[in-house]
Amino acid sequence: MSGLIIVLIWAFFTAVPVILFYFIGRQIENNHFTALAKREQQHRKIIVTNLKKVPEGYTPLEGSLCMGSVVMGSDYFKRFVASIQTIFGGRISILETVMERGRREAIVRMLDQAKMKGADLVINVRVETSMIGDPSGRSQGGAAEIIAYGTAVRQRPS
Amino acid sequence: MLLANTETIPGYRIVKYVGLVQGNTIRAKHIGRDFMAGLKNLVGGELKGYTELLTEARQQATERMEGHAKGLGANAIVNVRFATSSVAQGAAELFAYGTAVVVEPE
Repeated sequence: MSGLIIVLIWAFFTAVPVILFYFIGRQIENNHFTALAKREQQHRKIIVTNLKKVPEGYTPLEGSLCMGSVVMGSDYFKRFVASIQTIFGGRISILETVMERGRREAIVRMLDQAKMKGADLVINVRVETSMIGDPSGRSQGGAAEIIAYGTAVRQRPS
Repeated sequence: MLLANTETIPGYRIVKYVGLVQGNTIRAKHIGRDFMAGLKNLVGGELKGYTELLTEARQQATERMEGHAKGLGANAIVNVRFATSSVAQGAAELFAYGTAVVVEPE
């Protein structure tokens, strides 16, 4: 009987945070995606490319470095599910959205800088990811830093 | 100091190649930020404390690279690259490197 109570208490303290952080995390993620879509829309006039040179047909006036970075962490629910999914291997779809948000956020921040410089296009864009803290992500330090950088180019006014 | 991660700076002509320049810095996260990041890591999303820490550190690495280039008599750095690596538990090295050049407007 006392064994059953202990199991129930353990289940309660595991299940409640998982369910709670599922709802909080999902809300934050949805808000982030909405905000990202809006900010990307604001920058749609800037041409972004990872080509090394200014594409033909554009006459560059000047160029300078612009960059954006973000450190993204996953939530408690995602880490819990991911730790179960890693047992079976295969696709861990639940973490894909975290990285997608991070990449898009870094690129949007880079474009914020480019816009401040009055750029018409950003060339040679590079996106890099590095793990911070415990790469397994199981401990609290599991986070990824994503940086995006490129050369913001202003066109000669025609 | 002009920076670009392309091989030339759009709108400028390279007149002299000075050579490889680099700058680095190693930063460790501190307890207060770590605690807040730990809380933030429950709900997911951006860990602002770390973003600020790393942006600041990368800024410093870039400034050191610029200082190095200035010392060599360059006025621009092309093909700038950034790299990050963990050197110890809780510490990261931010590294910036590029080719110092002398440019003049076209």
